[in-house]
Amino acid sequence: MLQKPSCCFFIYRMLPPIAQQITIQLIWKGSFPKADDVEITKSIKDQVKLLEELGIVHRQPDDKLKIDPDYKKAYMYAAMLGAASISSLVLETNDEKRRGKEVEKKAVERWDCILRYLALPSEENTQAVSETTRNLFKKANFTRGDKTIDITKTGFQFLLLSPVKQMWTYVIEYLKLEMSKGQDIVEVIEPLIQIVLLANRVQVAGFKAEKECYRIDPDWTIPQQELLNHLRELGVIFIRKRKDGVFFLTHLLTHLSTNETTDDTSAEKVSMGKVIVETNFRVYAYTSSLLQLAIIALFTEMTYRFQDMSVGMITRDSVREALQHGITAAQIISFLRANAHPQCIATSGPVNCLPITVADQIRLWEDERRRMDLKDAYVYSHFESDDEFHGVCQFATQRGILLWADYQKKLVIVNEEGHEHVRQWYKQEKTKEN
Amino acid sequence: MVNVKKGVLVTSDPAFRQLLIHLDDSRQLGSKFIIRELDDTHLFIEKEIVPMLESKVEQIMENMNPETNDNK
Repeated sequence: MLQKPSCCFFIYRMLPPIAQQITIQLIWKGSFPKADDVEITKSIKDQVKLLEELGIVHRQPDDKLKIDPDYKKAYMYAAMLGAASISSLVLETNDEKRRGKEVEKKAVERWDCILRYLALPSEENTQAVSETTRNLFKKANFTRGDKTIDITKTGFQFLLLSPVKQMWTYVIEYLKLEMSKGQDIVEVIEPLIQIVLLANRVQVAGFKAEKECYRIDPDWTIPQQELLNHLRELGVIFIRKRKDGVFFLTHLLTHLSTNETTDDTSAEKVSMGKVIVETNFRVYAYTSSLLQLAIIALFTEMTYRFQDMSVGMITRDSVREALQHGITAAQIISFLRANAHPQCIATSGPVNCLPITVADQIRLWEDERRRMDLKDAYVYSHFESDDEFHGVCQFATQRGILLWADYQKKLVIVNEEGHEHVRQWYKQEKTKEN
Repeated sequence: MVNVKKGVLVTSDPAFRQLLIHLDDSRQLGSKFIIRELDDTHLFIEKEIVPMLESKVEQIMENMNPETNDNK
């Protein structure tokens, strides 16, 4: 894969900044300078390790680092030509008839559809998403149940992620799904990378999604076509009709092309933030987005619904229901804070925009369900000697796996992961004694 | 030879521990499930019983908790 200019350029873009530096230095100079700072040296080491794992950098016998020759060649080639041309997708002139209408708007709708299905699994929303997506969410543990679909804890966390992370999570889960079917994913990754590389074009000022379209390569295999269909469902690309043989790029594509570490949330902050929570547990949501309302409805009792605003009530029952779904109080609180109305933030700050009484009460409702704390564990009893007991105790404490010990009863309890360690350690001790 | 047993360590307040012991004694879940009573706040119980125990506890707590929410 490293030999493909498109792939290698894509990987380069996704690398963390330090690793990018190292790669560039190695390509052009064959070495990179040492940092004086211990902290930085350590982070450089980590990045080099990452590059080695990716097979971009090889360590030579004399401990010098060398860039992979194939990668170097491919990178140079790609850098010369630029991202758009190496993606080798053919730009087609668009005639009036095939022109897509309101591409951007439809793209956003598509993506909302998927999130809505997750947040609000009704009959109508279920039909709006494809079978594969449904399977995908189930495999990824976002939903559970066959006929009536329920959102799980991971699913809720997914809803709270930023769009960039959501999209990547979706794509990665999709690739995982393909892999579990025994599909060779390299085949599918290629068009994906090609399309993502085109994202630069979307970011150029004056880009009109309606004007540019790319030809769908008739040579693409069925899995590759499948992927295209999927990206279409995500709203990343837009296909008006399949027989047109062309697709359009949309702004959502930028989500896939941004490096996760440079996650830009400034744009969201402007668009989000429409929820006011009062000390009397009333929630006002100034939004008409079904998706946002669906998320809020997960833990509130909705009472009124108007054109552009809805009123709900946080009650013990509604929060308990959310908690029973595996949603945690901390998640609810952080959601309400993240989506607080700008005015609330202005008057009471980013933390207190959610009244303290409400936040505390939500936590209390959670604690009320957690009267007991359960941990899988192993108990050791009937020790042969005091020394043996103390030995196990000490070992477990050092490892940080000790949960409970009693010196009178000579009982030791370690956590589940610790059991194997203790077993091995115990065997070792025994052989030492004999 | 050291004895090893797999199970679940329960950490709770003493009052709640008494409730669990009561459930164990009265066999409300069909059988005994406490393996060892460790101390005031800890119990060691069977792993298999956990889902059943959790729903039972939920039910009991719900019965003891009349709707106090009057700001509805």
